[in-house]
Amino acid sequence: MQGIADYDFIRSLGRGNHGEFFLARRPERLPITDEYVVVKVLGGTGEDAFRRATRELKAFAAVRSPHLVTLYDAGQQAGVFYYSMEYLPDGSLASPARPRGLADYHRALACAARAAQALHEAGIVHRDITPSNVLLTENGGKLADLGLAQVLTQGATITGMGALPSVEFTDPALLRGDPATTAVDVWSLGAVLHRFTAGTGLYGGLPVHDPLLTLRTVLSTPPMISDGLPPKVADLVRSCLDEPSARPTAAEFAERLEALA
Amino acid sequence: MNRPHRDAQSPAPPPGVPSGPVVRPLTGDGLVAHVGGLLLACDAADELTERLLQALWAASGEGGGPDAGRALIRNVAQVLAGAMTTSTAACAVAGPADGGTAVLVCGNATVTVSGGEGELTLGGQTALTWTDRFVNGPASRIELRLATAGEPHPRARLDAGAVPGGGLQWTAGPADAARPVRHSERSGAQAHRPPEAPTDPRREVPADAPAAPRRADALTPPGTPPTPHEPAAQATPGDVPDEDIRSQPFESVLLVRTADAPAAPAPPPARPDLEPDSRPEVWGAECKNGHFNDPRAHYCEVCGISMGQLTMIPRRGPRPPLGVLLLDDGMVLRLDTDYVMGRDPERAEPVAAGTARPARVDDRNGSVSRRHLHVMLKDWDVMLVDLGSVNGTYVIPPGESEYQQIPTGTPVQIWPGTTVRLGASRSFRYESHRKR
Repeated sequence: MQGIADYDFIRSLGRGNHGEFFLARRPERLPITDEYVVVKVLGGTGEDAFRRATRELKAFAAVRSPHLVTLYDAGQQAGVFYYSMEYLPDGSLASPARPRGLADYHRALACAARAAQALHEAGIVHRDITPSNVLLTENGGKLADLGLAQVLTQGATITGMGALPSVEFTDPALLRGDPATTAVDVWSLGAVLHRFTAGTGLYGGLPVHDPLLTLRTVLSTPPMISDGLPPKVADLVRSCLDEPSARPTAAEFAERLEALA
Repeated sequence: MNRPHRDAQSPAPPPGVPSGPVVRPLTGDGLVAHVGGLLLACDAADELTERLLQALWAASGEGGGPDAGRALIRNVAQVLAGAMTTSTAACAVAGPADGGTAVLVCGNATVTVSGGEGELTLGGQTALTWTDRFVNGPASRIELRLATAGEPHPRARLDAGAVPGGGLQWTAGPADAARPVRHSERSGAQAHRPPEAPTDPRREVPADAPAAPRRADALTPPGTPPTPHEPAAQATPGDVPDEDIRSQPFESVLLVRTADAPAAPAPPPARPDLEPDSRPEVWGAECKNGHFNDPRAHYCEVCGISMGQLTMIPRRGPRPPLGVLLLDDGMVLRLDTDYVMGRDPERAEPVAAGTARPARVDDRNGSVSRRHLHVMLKDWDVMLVDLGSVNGTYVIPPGESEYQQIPTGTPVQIWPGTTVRLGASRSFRYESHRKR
């Protein structure tokens, strides 16, 4: 794709859970000063889905937190839905622009947890906290990209298109059809912490080429905490996977993670 | 040619009436005009500019008033249609209609309409023809911009007339702005329906234009009286090849807050439930631990405890999800209500009636029908009804290994572990921890 609406793309930044990200130049009409922005292009959506998604994004954009990525606009062209946000050149936990120490990653995840807390206090569940949605900044991090699966296709708990293994970070209760509560975001924070501290996921190696098989594995295998985790990290991850009512809040998660550093 | 309007042409504001709307010209190369709330900005050849101006004067003469925007859009569309093959123009117009705003944009220009809840921007940048929209509710600000548009001089205004410029900025007076604004976001398709007199750009396209998406039956010669058409006449996803997307008009809603935004919109309420609790009541029975189950089940589906020894007292209760459908592209659909699957499921009857959700399933070779399959929940059972699809629906029941086609129009029950194929290449699997 060369661009969408009045965004001219410079290059692709990769695929997300249900769309593709592009680096683009800022169109004149946006009332901001950044030279570059990130545009996420989602697949074709119906008119209703566009309205719902825009409403969700507006709610997200209205939440004030220094640790949430700033959204710029949302639109559609020929039925293809897109939205734009600030560009953070340092990359994400999934693909940092340069190697960083574990302390940096912990700090970024703690910031993302604080952002999740701000969303939760506004009544919003993120639903899609994964390493690629925790972005690195110079001295912390930001949480990006609301999970719009449920919005774009009602009843969907995950939408396809693209790299699937992010189910590894999704509370299996959500996959089974339980309603999304703030506790599912805490589950995801724990799973992300496990992934980049232990270097492996809660389900070990997942088949990447067969989405059906991946999902069946996740639904039929209980998550296992790696023996390689330091005991305190393992305790924190374990508490995130507990019964929803026994899990810490996102803010408590942030505090405990910061205390580990 | 950049700032000729600053000291000329604009009469001083009439004394004593500071509260009405104000129109300010923006710098830039082009011509802008305003009469009675009707706005025009264009950059075109002389002759075309002249005809656009006439279209504007004519609309204000045809009655003006609260609906003049409609006449304006119609007139301008006719002028553009007539000029289509001979010249290209950048042009943007806006005017009041039906308590809202009718806008049209063509070529490299944008129109932004702001209301209390946000902004809508329409761009014609690379469109072959033009696009028009109706934006619901009173606007607080309307801005027309050509490519070269700059900023307005804070003291410049254009109460009526035509001057050189790159755009126009219309702002409601305090009295207008104070009114509550119901912006377009609220009512979906309704909010963005085109004006009743449609000027669908696809109606008049030069025969030698590059392949733009259009339906042959929508083509009528220029000058044909407009006829009403379906409100949902927008291109549906998939109808437009990737490389042609940018030849289409776009719309956008601003999410970032601007410094000069009228009033900060009230923080939206906590995420409203996306849909009301739609779980229907069914007959069921509770296990010893109080989990609500299919009365025919031998074991509780939640805790696995045997239900055999219990004296079961059936009761009515909300049905829990019957599991999920795992699609081959990674989508997971929760089975708490019916679904219609297909390439274009949103206009299926059960979806329109609110008894089923649409699930868009498509493949590259088009073997999935527009409305292909109805997944129907009946009490505790999951049934499939093929909706007369062209390429059929096939199932592999658990424990078997070959696809069998299901009949059209007849419900067929499936059990957890069943794989289902739609047409040639798309498939999903029904998964549930319920075992029967």
